[in-house]
Amino acid sequence: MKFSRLHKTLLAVASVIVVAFFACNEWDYIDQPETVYLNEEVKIQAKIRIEPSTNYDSRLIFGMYAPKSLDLKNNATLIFNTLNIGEVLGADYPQAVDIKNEKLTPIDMSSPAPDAGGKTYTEAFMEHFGVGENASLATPIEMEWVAWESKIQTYISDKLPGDVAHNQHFFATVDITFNAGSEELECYLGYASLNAVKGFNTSDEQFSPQMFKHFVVDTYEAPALPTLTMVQSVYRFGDIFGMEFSDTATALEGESEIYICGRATLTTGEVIEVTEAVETNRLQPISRRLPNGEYQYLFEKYIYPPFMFNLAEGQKIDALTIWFINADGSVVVTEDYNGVPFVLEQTPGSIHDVEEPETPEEPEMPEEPEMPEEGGEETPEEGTENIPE
Amino acid sequence: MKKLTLLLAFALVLGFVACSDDDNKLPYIPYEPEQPEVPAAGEDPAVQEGTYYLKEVLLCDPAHPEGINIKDKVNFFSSMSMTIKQSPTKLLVSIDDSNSPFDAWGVELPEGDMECTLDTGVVPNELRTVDGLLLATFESNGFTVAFQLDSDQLTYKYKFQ
Repeated sequence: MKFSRLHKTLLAVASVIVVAFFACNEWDYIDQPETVYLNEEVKIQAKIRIEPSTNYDSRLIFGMYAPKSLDLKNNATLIFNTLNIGEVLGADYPQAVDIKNEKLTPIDMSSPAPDAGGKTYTEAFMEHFGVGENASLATPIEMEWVAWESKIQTYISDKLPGDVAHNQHFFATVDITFNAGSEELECYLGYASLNAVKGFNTSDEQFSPQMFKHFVVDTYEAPALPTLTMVQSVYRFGDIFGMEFSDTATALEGESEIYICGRATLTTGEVIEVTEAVETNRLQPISRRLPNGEYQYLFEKYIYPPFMFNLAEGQKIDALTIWFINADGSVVVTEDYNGVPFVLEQTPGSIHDVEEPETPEEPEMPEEPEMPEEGGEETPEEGTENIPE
Repeated sequence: MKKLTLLLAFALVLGFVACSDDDNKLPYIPYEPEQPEVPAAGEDPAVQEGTYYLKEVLLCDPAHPEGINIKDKVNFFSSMSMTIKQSPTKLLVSIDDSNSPFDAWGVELPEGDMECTLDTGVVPNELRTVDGLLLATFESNGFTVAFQLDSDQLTYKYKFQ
């Protein structure tokens, strides 16, 4: 019997529909970073759509295909939550209470898997979920399937109870946390979720579809810090604003105390300088945690220029240059490592700007009637006639 | 019978002697109806007083719309406070911003109490002086004073709690 192209297409569509219809554990999404850095804490969230059962007898099994070097069985934490079981099943299921923050328990992968024909978990996971795109990697790394299970019973199944609308799912999340480790690597992390009672029974198709996501652990290279960074991208000299000063590769590197100095040119042309290393001008040391867990150390200072330069009411700063000194003033840094001086520039848009009132348009003067030249003859306009008296 | 008559007579004499003792008389206290307390001139009855201290000063800019708390990053906000005195007839507010180098309210506030009203008809509730100056807005977690200094893109918020 020969199939026409139309028949083939219809069969393909029908098989897709059948697979989608029977799969009870569907991925809603897996929020996984593609690139992380050495020793970074990796956080992944898998959200699963699960069709509920009327039997309060099932539990979740969650599997991950991951590099052996990460040893996820001992180094990962998985937290299981269901979001709306009670809402979906309704009042007839009094035990349908959502599971909150259950820590999943690692499974012995050499033990027999449920309904897998005597195969171990490792064998069953490999048979049903495989290795995904890891097979296509130029330099494959040693990977393993690792699985965890929930201990609290709930209604995970593909059985559709009569009083629950078909395709009505409840949602569950699994939050996975582990350390990226100290080795650079590239792989595809695999994910699997299934019902602990039905297990690997292929006739019921209760497990999630294959899911592999690209994952790279790379070395973090901290970007070179500019010597001076303004915290606020917009500010004016009449504002309070902050700045961060990195002493790296400057003459002040290693100094424990750094002070800000400045020269303010007022709108009147007067110049006021602050050059003393006084407490109010001292920068505060701060640190910032980088993605790879290391810390960046720098200094921070917030200034209110009218206060710093002790301005009287009505005085306004037109130009402002700053520099940094150590406690005794013997070391001075006036520019960044590219030789650019620290000239601050205020952004336009002040609340004190006075809007210029719109100049009213000159009123149109009524056209004066053209007077006929003396002795000349008035020519009547087109369409008008001289009305006889 | 004679004995009984004597005993009764003795009891009467004893009772008379006991009753005639002046020390046992109760003092005379004339009835005076209670007068309602009249507050002294200028004093308000049942004044409740509360002081709110500056908890945060948020600097909000386009990159940090929720604001960065700069209260401890500059040294002139440490002593700010707002005191509210409330009685059934008056709401008095005093604000101590003596160390601040600028007027967040756009005008120099008078020292001491300002008579105010709390407009509960708007959300958030508005605390205004009787002259109409908006001093603060009131939310469940305290009073907020939002203001600008120079840039029209920066907003500062005092949070009193």
